[in-house]
Amino acid sequence: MIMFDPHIHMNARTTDDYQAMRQAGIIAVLEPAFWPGQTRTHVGSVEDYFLMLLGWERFRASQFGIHHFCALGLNPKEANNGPLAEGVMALLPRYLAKDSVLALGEIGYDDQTADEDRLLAAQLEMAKGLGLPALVHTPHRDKVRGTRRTLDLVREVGLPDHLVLIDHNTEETLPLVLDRGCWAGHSIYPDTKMDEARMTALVKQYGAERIIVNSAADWGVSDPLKVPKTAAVMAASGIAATDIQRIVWDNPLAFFRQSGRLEGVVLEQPPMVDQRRLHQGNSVLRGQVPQVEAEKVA
Amino acid sequence: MEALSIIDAVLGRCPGAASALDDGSGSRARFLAAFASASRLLRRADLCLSGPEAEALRRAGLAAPETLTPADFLRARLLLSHLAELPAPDHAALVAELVQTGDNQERQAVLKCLMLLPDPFRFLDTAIDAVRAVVADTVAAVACDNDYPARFFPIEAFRAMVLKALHMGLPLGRVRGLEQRRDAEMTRMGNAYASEQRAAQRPVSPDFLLMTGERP
Repeated sequence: MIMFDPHIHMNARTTDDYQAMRQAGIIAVLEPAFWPGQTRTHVGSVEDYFLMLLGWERFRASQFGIHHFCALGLNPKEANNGPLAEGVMALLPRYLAKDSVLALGEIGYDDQTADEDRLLAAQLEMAKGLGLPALVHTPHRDKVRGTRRTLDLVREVGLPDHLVLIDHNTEETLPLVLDRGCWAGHSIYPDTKMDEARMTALVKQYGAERIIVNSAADWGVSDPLKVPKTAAVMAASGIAATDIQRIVWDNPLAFFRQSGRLEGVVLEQPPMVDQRRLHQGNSVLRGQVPQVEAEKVA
Repeated sequence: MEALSIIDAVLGRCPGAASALDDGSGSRARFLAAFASASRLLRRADLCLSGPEAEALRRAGLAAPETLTPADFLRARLLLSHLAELPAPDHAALVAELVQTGDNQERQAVLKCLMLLPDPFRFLDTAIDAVRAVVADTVAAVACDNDYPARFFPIEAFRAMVLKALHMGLPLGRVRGLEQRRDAEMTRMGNAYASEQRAAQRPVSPDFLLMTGERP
């Protein structure tokens, strides 16, 4: 089965992860812009990060047979840093126009402050203006209130519900999101957020429509194989293969296809690995023999 | 200032402190270098505050002076001396810069001693922003054993800090002024936390009862 991890921070992961993911059936990833684990102090570090998501990271993924796309946005945790936040907002129009950017994201609430309100609304407006989907993070703290507030803001701005993927859902937030007609992401984590068994129970209760799972793997304790692992637990618990296929491939693809930037792209065909290639003169190899695939069908 | 003389007395018992204070005076560059090097400049890692010293520091605004390290005291003293040489309008920027460019120990030292600084309300933005850290000890430097948030934080920021401390496993019993600033919204947030944890079949920290007021 081919799989799409629609929320993973690959620039914090190793080439071993890429290899294991490809082997487990993941042939496409979407990397939303994130924060680096501590506060950024200059907008220039955000701009270089954007360029890395568009350049080196995309190349790195291709070297292991994985399609790489990204979402760009002002991270919720950085929305309260005035000069940085305004600087990122000024960068966004230029960078959101790039081919491999399939959404605004991850945007959303952290502490649910007035600045976060204003900047989230402005970014939802940008998404609306560009006709781009929005990948919206829900806060770790006071999550139900933050989710309701997000859904209300989406309506206020007038971004169509079907262009919104609300992420990091739990038992308490999923029904709110589905009722509104948005897509519902779930981050399967080793300890926090959501786990495979709870996710399986949610699919049994709510079905597969507009349901998406991701690993949200980053620089912390997390697991880039959580999408295939969740698919395996769902299969073992009797969920139909067609439903699993919807959740791990069809749904994320359908959501991000709404960007209009995947026309003519056959994602089912993973990129052909050719490790002789270079990106700005740089290779992922460190003396190894380059792998070169002639043709590969997933 | 009574606190200053107590800190001087405490540092007087720390080998290395006198020369460190000397190293840190005279210029901004010397101050920043000594501030960063404080723990290396001191030749002992513990100190014993006398009862009257601790009491005097509590009166001066340090809620739990016994939790400060010798390097914290040295940094507080270096900062107080340097601020005294700067025009008041430059104070907030310096404190913000020390937190932004400091390592965790430097940051925590500044945050723990905010109440000792002149006109501490001027450092509110820095204190609120520090609570957004993911390093538990940095959040604790503001949230625990510190009168600053109860005194100066707007209620929204105070509630957000308490909830963050709860999620990070910091002891809410050490959040100063929690009971006095508890309101209906904080109670709702505490109950929402417990509900979410239960729905996910995760342990609920009993400290949430301090947000809801069901435990004194």
